[in-house]
Amino acid sequence: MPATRLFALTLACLFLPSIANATDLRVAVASNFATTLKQLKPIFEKEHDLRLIIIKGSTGKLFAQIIHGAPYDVFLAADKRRPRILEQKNLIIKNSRLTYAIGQLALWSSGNTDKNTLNILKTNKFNKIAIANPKTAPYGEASVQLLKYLDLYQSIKAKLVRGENISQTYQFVQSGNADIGFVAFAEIKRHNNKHYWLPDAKTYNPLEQQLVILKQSSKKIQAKYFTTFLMRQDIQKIIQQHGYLTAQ
Amino acid sequence: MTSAIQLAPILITLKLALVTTLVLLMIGTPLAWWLANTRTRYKTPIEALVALPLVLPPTVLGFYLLVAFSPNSFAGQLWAFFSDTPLTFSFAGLVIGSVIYSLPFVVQPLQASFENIGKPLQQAAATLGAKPIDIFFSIILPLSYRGFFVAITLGFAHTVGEFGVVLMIGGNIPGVTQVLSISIYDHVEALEYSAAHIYSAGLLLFSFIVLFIAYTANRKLNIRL
Repeated sequence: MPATRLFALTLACLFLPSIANATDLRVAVASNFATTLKQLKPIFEKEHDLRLIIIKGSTGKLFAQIIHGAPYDVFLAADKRRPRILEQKNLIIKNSRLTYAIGQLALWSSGNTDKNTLNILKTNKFNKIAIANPKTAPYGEASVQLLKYLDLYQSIKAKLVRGENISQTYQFVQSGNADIGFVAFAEIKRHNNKHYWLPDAKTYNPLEQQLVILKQSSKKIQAKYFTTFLMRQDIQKIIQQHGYLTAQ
Repeated sequence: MTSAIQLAPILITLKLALVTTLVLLMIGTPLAWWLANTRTRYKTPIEALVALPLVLPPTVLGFYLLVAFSPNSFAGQLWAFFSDTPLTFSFAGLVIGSVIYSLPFVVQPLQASFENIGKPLQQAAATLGAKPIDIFFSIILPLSYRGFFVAITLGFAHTVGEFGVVLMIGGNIPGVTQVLSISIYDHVEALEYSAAHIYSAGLLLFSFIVLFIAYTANRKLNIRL
């Protein structure tokens, strides 16, 4: 009977994806670090007989998935708050929480009006300014802190638009819908953008990005290989080159 | 982890749904009327166009609107001619997005109910000297009130349930473009589950009631949706 065969095939397909490869290591990563991680992936895979599966998303979404049992081995967050909550909930391997990178905020403009990005901000010569949602995204929170530090928050408040995450914030400026925006410096480096302003990192709370190894991982040793790899000096140097500061 | 339930997202959502439904009635009624009566060979492709938002992911619509609304685009420059503020991140932009997004939910029930009335009644009126406009207002409109009822409820409810398009072109501005669905999304991301629960349960109940009313009306009229 073809119908029975079809049914059996469908059933087989259902179970296919669950047969995870023994050498696969699942890393859930915050959007802003995904590109950097993709660059590091071949280096790690060459050194170890493992394959990195990168799951990209916003820290908040990945976090929610993890507390509901998503099968990830390592979580690279964009903040330290979410990893700390996971630690408090006893969902991570003891002492696995580490700062793997410190994000930098940058003000970016597509350069259509003024080449001096800070000038555009200060003279209020823009239609909209994009930031990541300060309520959910650490980069957004830092943007508001910085604007308040510059004493500009009140005067430009009405022009703020909020991206769902730092990538969408970048895309708002890139598509020309907002004249300027606060984005991750890593994103600016990646796209080789010319018109940006890199504020002093002391003017906003440090964007410490932390990682954890999840307790429910079946590959704790391999996960440890990976986190040790990330913290290694030469790898931290590459992370720096991608627009981050490092703890060391 | 509780946070105060705010009224603004609810009001904006209702305002957006109301304005969208009104615009849709103005555009959708003549369009449905034309589709119900035309014999042109373009009828099928146009019907397919109208139905597109039923199957397209809202992200496709959101993406195209984002590109179209950009001040660098032709449409964006055309708009800049009339207004200083760009369409992205504005209430007007959301209305345009929602009108496209909810179009089939208004046009299809209207078209079905217009087609239900049939030609003989119109022909009889015409032989008695009624002009097409007369026929529409004194025969078609009163006879298809249930179709309008379904169209209004579905158009309104579907706009209330909009998320993807608003997420992509809204910019999440409190009091301007932050609708209920976006607000729920934010609360979940911020781990404010209790606020998310309240909004979500409210929307669930609201949607059920609206659909229940629409289906009851639909059963009485026996039209296809």
